[in-house]
Amino acid sequence: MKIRLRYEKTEVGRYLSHLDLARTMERTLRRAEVPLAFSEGFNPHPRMSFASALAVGITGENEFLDVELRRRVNREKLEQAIREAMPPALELKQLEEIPMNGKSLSALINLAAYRFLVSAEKIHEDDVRAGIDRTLAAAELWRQPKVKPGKKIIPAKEVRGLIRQITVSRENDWLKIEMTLVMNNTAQLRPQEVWAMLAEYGGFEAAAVSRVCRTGLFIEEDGKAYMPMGGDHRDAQRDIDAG
Amino acid sequence: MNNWKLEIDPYLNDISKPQRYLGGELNEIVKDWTAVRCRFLFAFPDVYEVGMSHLGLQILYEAVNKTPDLLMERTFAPWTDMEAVMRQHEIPLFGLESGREVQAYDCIGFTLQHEMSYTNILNMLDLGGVPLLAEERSNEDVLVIAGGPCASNAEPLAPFLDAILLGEGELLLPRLLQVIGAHKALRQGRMERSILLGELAALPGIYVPSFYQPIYDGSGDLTAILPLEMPGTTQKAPAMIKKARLRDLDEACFPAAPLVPYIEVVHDRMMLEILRGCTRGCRFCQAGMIYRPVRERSCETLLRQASELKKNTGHNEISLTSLSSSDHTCIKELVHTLMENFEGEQISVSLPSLRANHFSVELANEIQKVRKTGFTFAPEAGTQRLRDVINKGVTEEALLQTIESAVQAGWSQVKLYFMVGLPTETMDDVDGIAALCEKVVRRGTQIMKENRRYGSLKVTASVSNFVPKAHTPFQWGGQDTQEIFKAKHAYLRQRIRDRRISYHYHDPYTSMLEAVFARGDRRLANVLIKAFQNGCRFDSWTEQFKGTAWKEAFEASEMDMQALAAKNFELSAVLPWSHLDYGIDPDFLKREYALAMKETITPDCRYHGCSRCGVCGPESGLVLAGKAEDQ
Repeated sequence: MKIRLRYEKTEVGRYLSHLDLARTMERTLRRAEVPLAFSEGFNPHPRMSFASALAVGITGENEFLDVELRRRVNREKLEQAIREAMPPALELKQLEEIPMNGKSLSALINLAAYRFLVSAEKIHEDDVRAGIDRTLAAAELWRQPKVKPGKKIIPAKEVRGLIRQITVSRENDWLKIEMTLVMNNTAQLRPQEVWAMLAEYGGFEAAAVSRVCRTGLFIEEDGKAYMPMGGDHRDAQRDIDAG
Repeated sequence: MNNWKLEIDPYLNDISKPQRYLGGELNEIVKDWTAVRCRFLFAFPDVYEVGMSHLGLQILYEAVNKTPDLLMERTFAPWTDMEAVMRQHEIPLFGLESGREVQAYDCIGFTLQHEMSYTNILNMLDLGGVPLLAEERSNEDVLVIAGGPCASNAEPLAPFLDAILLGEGELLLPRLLQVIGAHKALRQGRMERSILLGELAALPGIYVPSFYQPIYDGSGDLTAILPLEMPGTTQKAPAMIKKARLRDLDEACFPAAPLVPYIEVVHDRMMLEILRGCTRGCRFCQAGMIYRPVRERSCETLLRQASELKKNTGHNEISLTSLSSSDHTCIKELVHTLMENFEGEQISVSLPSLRANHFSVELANEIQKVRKTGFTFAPEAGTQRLRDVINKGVTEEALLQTIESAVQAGWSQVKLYFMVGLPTETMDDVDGIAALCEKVVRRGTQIMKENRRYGSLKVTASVSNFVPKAHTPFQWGGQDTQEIFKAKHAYLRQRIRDRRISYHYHDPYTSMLEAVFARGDRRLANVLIKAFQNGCRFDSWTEQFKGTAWKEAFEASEMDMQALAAKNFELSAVLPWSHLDYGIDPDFLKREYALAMKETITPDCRYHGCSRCGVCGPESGLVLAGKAEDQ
């Protein structure tokens, strides 16, 4: 039996590395007495695979994990047991059975949505919006990696195609920035670096970002994006502008 | 009230391992601050990853928090980057659960695991805004206490501590906190510091250092430790403070749902304490003396506790901890049943502290069915003569046979622990370390050849420097000087030519500091303050150790650290810890010292009759789970 988990990495777990998360998840599943399937070899590991590693310092509202079990169990009971076993850093949102031989999560996911806040003290909402429009109107956007002394120089990369959508809204003293970015095996942008590029091209100050959250991971097909869950993917569906 | 966890938030992206400072782990207990009478902050004077691997923390967390009137939270030494942030932004040291500053608690308690953590204690008090010296604290300041193995001679820390707990903390701490709670409840939440200290000193196992006056003679030698009159009474403090101990480990508080950290800590596993105490009687070993008598948990209790730990933690390894795990009278049955119960779930069992005998190999073979990692033994000394002096009841032939069975069973790596600088040691004994390693390599490699296995046995010899400790038969003798230690290590380095043996040794300088503080008196407090002011922190972390800063601290206090480490006490001398009674008869220690000088061993009292150490009293204090049979 194979299951897919949709879960949240909460504020408490913001600073967990991917390795910490994997260890924490394994312990959670063990506490829930999930009959984990293990890899062969000298050092057997549970067969589980994450959709995508989440950077340290970022929370995740809709993260995904596939887990292989060594025997069939009741789905409802399993969901309840795992939900109860979750530590404060994690929260189970949904669990469903998936086919044994389906595509892996990392092969399916091709969009990621992020949200973060910047202080509205020094920059004006309209300036930011205008700057973003100007930047995204350009045909090309070049990412210039930072040159670190002693490290190999990474060539600049054209990344305009990786940015799908950016919205700005006001929330009290904060600007809420939401962005949808393309994610695939060859290219992936971090929301902080997109923000830095927008500020540079758009001519506004790159105010410090806080509360960075990956709000969702999506499969984009025929202009529609949905989460990799069968059950309620219609609810999770969202329109993506062609950008 | 301030939640300082929110205040550090803006800086967390720039410091290493922020999760250290945030709490929120599985099984964390956050009690209602206003619903209890006494709030305790447990302070571990090292980083989170070290402190969270400490079983004592988990036991006390359970023992205190299960008491309705009490609350315990945790704090750890902030790493240097975090300390810089805290000092720059005036953020005080805080508890991980509620984020409150040290001074908001009724009591802060440090665990004294080793001498090299002392500067961290001063730093943590300073970061908490607590006056370093107990005599400078007012009624508004938090009460500062300490416990743990180094409490058996915490005299160098005495001026900083309001009270010291001698003996087993799960028994002492809740009692002490209850007294603080009752004291404050009577006074609308206020503390009358001197009265409270008197109330604490009346409890068994609680030592209030300010109630004792050390007297030194003209040459600076200690001649007496005088108990003083306790404030508010006409009574003097007790002349001797007796450690508190549990009768039965089966009845003892057990943390069935310990905290499970998110980040990787030093020991990421379930810890099941199978027995406490050890009666093998190695003469250098402080733990073997101060944790007497041996008390084993029954197999039934242990199996139940193991399954609770598994259910509540989700760890994939369980460690059966004690001072000498293969000595548990039901160890075979326990290991076998655990392996059976955990089979199929990929939970491994580990057994630290194995004695060098065939039985240990059998046990290890049972738990490491697939992957044979290294095997570790501690012969401690290189020659039979010196092993008899220290009462390490392991013969060379037994060790070689053990190696033989280990290699037969599939192992190909062995780690051996030794010490240099043991009493009566000569260069022949030092040479014996190299000679023994060579014999082990030859015997092991020969077995591998006979079994047609490729390669040779690899031996790692790890050599540390003997540090004389309080409450042991070797407490009177001084430590080897730096010069002698260096000569011994240099000799071994050039003597060990065999490439199958790798040689590791400890820095003699830190060993000297350990010796100074392990047998030191209150006059060393000055040195600690100066070392702290000179920037000493995390002295057990090689890359953080500041040798020059320590040297200057001793010089500024006009003390000679080499002379203090090498100091010999007369057998009749008053020792800085003479008023601390760990149940061991001083005459037993003297007898053991005399036997050591005669190279005569004292067999384990479990199998060969009482050695009259004094700990048991009229009835035997030994609690065994099964039948005592020497392996």
